Amino acid sequence: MTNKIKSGQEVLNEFFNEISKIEVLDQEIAKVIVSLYREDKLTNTNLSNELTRIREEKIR
Amino acid sequence: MKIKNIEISSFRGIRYSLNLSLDSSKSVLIYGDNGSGKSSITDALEWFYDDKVEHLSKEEIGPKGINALRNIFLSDNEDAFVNLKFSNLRIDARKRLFYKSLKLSSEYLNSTQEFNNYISASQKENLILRYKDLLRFILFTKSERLEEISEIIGFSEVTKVKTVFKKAVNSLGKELKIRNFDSQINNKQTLIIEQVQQNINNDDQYFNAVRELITPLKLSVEVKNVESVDKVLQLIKKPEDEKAIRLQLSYEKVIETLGNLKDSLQNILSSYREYYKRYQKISKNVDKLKKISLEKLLSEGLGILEKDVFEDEKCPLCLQEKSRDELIKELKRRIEELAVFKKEKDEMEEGRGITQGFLQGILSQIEVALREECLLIKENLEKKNEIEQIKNLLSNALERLKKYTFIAPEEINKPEEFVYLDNSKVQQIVSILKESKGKITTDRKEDLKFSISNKLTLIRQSYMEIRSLKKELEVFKNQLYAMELIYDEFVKKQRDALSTFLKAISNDINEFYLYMNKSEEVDEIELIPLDKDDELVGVTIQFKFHGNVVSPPDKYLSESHLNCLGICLFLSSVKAFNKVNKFFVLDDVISSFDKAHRLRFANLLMEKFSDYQIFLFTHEKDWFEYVANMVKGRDWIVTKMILDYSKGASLEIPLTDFKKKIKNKLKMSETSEVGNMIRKYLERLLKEICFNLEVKMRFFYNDQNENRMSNELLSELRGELKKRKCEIKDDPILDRLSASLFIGSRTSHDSSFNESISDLKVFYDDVFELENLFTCDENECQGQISKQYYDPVKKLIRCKCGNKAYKWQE
Repeated sequence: MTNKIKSGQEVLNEFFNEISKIEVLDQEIAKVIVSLYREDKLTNTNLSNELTRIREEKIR
Repeated sequence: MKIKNIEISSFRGIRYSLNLSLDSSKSVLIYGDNGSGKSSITDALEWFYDDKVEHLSKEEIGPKGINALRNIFLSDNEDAFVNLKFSNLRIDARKRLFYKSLKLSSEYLNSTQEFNNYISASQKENLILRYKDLLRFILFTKSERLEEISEIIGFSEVTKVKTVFKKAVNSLGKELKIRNFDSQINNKQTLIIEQVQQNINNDDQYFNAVRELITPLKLSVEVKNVESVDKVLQLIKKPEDEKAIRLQLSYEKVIETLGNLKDSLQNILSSYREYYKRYQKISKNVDKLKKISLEKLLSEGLGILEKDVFEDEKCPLCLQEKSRDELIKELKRRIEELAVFKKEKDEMEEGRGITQGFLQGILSQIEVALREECLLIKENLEKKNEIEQIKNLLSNALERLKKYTFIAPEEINKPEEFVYLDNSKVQQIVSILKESKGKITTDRKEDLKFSISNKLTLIRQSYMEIRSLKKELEVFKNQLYAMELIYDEFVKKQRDALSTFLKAISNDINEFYLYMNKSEEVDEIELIPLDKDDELVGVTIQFKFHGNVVSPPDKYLSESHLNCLGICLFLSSVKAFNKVNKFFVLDDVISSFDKAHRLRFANLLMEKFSDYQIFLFTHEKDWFEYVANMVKGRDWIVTKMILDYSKGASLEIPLTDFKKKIKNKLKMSETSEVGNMIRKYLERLLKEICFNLEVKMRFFYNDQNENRMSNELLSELRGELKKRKCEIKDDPILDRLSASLFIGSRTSHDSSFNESISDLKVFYDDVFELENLFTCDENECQGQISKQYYDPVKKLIRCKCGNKAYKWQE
């Protein structure tokens, strides 16, 4: 934890820049989430649809 | 950003124009009695930045307080305005308030993107503190404090993202539960055991089982993969067996579905019981119920207002005039109040959703089973009807469940009445179907190839389905794990950021508070985040009081100490949040402080906020004098607010400006008013000198003290200089001024005595000489000699830098 005071935007940017570094995380999911965030489309429906799509591709 | 000039015209108590030139962005100390118009300056600044004045935004006045902003003497075709000039001249702007089609409107006369960005950034900063707002944050609820902080540091966006992650985790967990993978896999394993008397959990076991099964056939095919099993099946399957095997599989499908029914029913009833329990709890509380019904309306309304669908300053529902910002604030507060109830309702709805999911899952399996070939056979039509009845029973339950509302709580089924299914009846159908299925093989018992082909088809089908289900389950579990990981990391990140922020701001609050309250029993003031069920739900203010950790402050501290804490919170937030503006306004904030706290507060401002431009307004005379004395020689303008009922509020001209005006008039040989200006200047100069040298005067009540005449002040000053054996006691200038005709009596201010320009120049030179006698001429200092800098060893009275010094006997 750094001691710098961060704004909400900084917290979000930092989190999404570092999300791929989370240990044992499915990189495809990380990629999808970052992409939704960058396109300002990170909503319940969009994320749920993307997760279903990934599942279907993997099961196929 | 600092302010270089403020010009306010026809705004609140300012009838004409008030101009405050701050040169190189100086700080300002303004004294004024209550009602003298100090707060008109604060109101003007608040309106300039926020487009409203909070304390005037009342129902009786109208939205944003806008109807109370124009000076009452202003005609409808004239503008009221606030004109600000900044250290960055590109954002200099005038904001005018005017009538347009009988409606009050406002506009900035700077439409650049840079200015718009500046205004939006400034709106998020803490620029103004008034006395009445001191306790606002302290008396907030825990959740209001969290909301306030979240709003300021932009944490509302963070919360939105967290909610998206949380919902994804919940929805994956819910789907995993509804899909009931384990039960499906177990049923298929049962079928396999029936065929080969063993479990098949992996490919090796599968191939071994196949090898063992086909041994009697002595085939030359080596079973080593899925494709080779298919090859075996192709080899041993006879065309005439195909129909019988297909029928067998069809029976197995239906039997499996009926087998799943038992588990599904258990899941349906257990989730329904949870739902029913929560439904009963909520429905018994009528008030809660009513409030919950309102939640949807309030949330919809908030959504409409936030999306700017409805832009008028009215309530979109009742169309009554109301500030949009206030309405949003009120809706948020009411929705927050309902948050606890909403959570209960959401949990109940989640239970309903899970029950629906279980019902829909088994219903779609039954629908598929009803289309199976075996049920189309004439002898099984009765069984088909019975299965259809089960389907209808479950469909009815699903429809009822969907329709349950709080309007008719009596209609909701008790768990034992929700779905009743006679399991023995289901078992009976299963037995009959099994019997029918058995008949297919009984007739061909001796046909080894058929028997093996039949068993192989069944275990192949079941094992492939198990493989597919396991794969799906694994993908589901991995996704759930990944989303839980993301959510946990996100919560940690949010918590760390908030804790860092609260810790930093707490350090400042504690430091400022202890600075002002030395040797008192309060210490370690902290803002602490509060959690509930892994969620941040609020912020509390905690501190050590007589050695014990306590909270909240209003339970333990006096009003004056709470106000002090309020000031510390504001000043800490200025340091933490204000990134664009380097100024702040303190409007009459020390009223409840005793003398010691007032002095310490002034010291705190000078010591910790010397790099800020401070607008300090007060009606406390002693404190004004104290601060005025303290800021001498610093970048401060010290002035007073004057209220004239015919002219409105205005500022007393600062001495330096006064001097410039006199000089200009003398230069232009303008005699009008200049005599009185010099006399006023002399009077203020003498007051300052007497104050600094602590010259004792005859006591008068209140404002009469202000009305001392120059001759009285000069006489007492000379007396004091003599008493202290000061070396300037006999300076000729003192004699000249005492004998001057111009110093006159009080009435001389209005005298019609005909003064020539040369007389006035001589008078002014004398006044200037007097000023020089008591004032240091060092550029860095330029302060007057003062008792504050008395040197008791050398017995000298000095200016601050010590350059100007005279003997002084105490």
